[in-house]
Amino acid sequence: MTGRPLTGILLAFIVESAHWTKLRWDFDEEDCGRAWQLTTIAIGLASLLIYLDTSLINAMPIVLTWLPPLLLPMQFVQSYGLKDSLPVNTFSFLAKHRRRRNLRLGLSGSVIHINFGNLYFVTILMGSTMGTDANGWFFLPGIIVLTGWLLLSASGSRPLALFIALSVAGCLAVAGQLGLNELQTWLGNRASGRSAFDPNSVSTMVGRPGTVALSPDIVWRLRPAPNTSPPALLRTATYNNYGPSSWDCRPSTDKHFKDLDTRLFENDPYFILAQGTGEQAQLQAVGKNLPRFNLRGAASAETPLALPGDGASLRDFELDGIERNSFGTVRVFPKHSVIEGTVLWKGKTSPENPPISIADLDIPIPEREMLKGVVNELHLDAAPTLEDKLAIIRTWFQREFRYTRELTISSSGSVFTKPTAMAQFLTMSRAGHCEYFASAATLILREAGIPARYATGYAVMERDAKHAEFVIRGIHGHAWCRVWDAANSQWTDFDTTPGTWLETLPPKDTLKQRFNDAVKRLREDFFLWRNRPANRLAVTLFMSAIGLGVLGFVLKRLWKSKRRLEAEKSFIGYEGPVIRTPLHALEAQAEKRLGPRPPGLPFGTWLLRLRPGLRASNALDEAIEIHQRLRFDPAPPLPTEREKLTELARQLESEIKRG
Amino acid sequence: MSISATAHRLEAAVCSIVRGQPEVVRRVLACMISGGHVLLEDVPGTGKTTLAKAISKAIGGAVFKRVQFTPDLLPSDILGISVFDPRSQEFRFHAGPVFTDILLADEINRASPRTQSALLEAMGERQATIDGKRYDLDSIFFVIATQNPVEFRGTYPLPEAQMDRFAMQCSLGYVSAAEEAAILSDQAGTHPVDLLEPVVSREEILELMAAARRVRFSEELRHYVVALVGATRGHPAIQLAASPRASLALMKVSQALAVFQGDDFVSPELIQSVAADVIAHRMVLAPEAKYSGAGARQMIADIIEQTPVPV
Repeated sequence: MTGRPLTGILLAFIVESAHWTKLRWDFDEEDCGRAWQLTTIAIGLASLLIYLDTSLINAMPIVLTWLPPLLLPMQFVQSYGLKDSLPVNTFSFLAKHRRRRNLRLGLSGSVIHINFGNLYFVTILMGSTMGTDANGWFFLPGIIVLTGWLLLSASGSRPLALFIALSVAGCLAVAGQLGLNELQTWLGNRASGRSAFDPNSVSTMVGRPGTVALSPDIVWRLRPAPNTSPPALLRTATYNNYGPSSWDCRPSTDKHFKDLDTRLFENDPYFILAQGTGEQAQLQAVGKNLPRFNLRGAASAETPLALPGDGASLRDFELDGIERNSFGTVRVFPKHSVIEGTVLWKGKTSPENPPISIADLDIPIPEREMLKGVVNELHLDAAPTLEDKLAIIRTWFQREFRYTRELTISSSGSVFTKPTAMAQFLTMSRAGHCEYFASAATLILREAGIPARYATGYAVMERDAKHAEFVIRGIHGHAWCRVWDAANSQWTDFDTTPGTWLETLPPKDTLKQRFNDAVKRLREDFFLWRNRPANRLAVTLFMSAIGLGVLGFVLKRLWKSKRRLEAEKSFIGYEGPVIRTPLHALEAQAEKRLGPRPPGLPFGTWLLRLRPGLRASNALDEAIEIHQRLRFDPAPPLPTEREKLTELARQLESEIKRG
Repeated sequence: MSISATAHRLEAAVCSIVRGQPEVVRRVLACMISGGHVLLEDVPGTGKTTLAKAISKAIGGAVFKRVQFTPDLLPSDILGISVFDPRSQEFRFHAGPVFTDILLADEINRASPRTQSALLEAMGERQATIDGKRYDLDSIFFVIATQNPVEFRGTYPLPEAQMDRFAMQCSLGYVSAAEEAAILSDQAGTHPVDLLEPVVSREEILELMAAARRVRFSEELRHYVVALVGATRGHPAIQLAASPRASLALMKVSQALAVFQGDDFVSPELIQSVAADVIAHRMVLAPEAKYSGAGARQMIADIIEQTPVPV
């Protein structure tokens, strides 16, 4: 329980108190089974709750951290039970079932017992290393030293061997930890494509042959106000520097993220998307007349929001922070794993800053000549207004180009290799996917002297009539360009991808997809419901009530069935005095040689197994004989017998110790 | 002459006839000393009858009677019958073979349950009630019954109540090759049991029985006996569990066995050694257990293994 000292100390107290108290319970196999059921239910519930709160990949380490308290019922049954082990078949439903069946059939089934304490100790070690404060450099050496100390005090022999073993274990632990971290990062990246999001750079498939594959899972859900239509495109990020198979942001000084301005309007706080605007513009951005829609989706730290290109302001989002860079990319630090809020748009402003004259008109040298040819061919210079130019380009792409996800254009990694991927696309193959169209349009506009940028995001196209909302999936991911409209001092969206791309999307209406959608929807709705302040209190109270109820029930049952540990353990049913003989002192030594005595094996028979290794075997026979008489003969013992047995036991003990 | 020497003499005499079975012989003799009866269940030819004969011959003055149980055997064939004597004009009682010291009930499961049950009172209470009149049996009344477990045709399984009257059920089983060769050479001339001379008297047997009753039995071990027998009750594989009579028999047989061991108190090892012989035959297994191949003796062994023994 690293990082949670209170819980850890409480657990340790409960487990270790067993040594100081004589309070015991007579737990049988059924009780072990019940404790295991309780444990599995607790683990299941905890896993579910943690999974709902984060993702599966993140949930596993957290569940491991919480394993010690979750496994407490099992350890409790062992620590406070009369036996010092648990039957193995407790842990498997099938084994338990088989055992019951065997009992019914009268078949002999000897049960393997294990000491759960060892397992619990391992769980504690594992849970500790997964804890919140376990990343310090001192943690692993500390754990190793503590374990070494524990082992040394428990076994007390062979410090050198222990040191070597612990060193090896320590090295393995370091390697294991590094490996686990790597694995978790890798899995995390694989599981959610968004965690790999970089607001400063995006790699494209331009110049790389292959098939564009995207996840069909729902990313955002958008609910427009009644009788309004949603924006066609939602942007997540914008880039302005074209490189081989990638776009990034230049100059680097403009990459920094800054907190959004907030403004109170009619007692509601708004986040203003456009930066450094005046009072008038801010008022306009929160205006009542602006169309608005509700945006809902899972988010974690630094998740980019998908917003319309002319987004004005945001409200109702529960966030720890929200910031944007000069390119208009907005990212959030949410309070909870699911966020929801209202987006106001058509504010006649752009979230991004005005263009940077050099960077937003820059064309890589190898492309220049080819682009000049294209611009000339289209007679763009002859078109008087921006709208005319855009119309010409749009028509050209619609007529001459074909949309495909099966990419065949291949070029080397360098833009200087001719023909470039862009040249192949524009002049030869004339087939590609949105990244080609967006990149090409951006470069053509720049060649025509119009500042343009490359934007990525989603197309809003799938309406869910049942829920009166639009769903945005991974497969709706899109790229287009942002054009600077100097007349209105505003950036506008310009999408040149032929409209046919919408028809090429893979069918989404599979049973699996529908199930995934429903689960995602349920999960998000549940979280939003739970996170509302009023519900949060109710949920906490409800869960606490259930938890306390179960705890109370278990405690009551336990309290009723408790019993004191007698000074000597006797078999059930006999309450009379139990005679101790000096030979009983041999039990600990004999256990080291013979292992623990099975409950049904008489003491004398068990000790006789020591015979082959003993020189004084006659002494053993005699000692056992006197022991039996003292122990089981109700007649009063002879006066010297006890002394003689003491002497024999001492002699035997020293011989057993010598080995 | 000490008690244990008498016991050993008897044991040695019987063992000289019944070769290679010292443990069974001792347990059967202990059963007799404890006042119980024994059921020998074994395949034919393993020496069941020889054992019974050897015991009776080794005891001087002991009356030995043998009844071959057949389907047409009647209760009066065992207990006796009152016959009208025309001379004295009254009924005269002709005692049946049950009035004896040692009774060999050979192939007991061949007689009808009615006849088998004629033995109930005799075995349980050492008395016989015939025509409303009670007759006490001999003080050493020891029934050795045999039955053959492989034959089912024409046999009547013993009723549970009858099974419960037997203190022990054990089997002789096959002996080692060397012992079997020795048996062959023993019987080359005459059967050794014919040559066996009595080694103990009836009175000595009665003394042994009294000595067995005097063997000390600690309170804790009484609880152990009850725990062992009690474990058969509530066991999911056992339909009819062992009765308190089983606990009593287990105590008495262990005491008698202690006499043969030369001990004057009972140890848990002794109880464990005879527990299966004393308890297993009284139980009726649940049908699924019966057909699963589980043995009652193995179940008792499991119970012994799992019941905590006083140490």
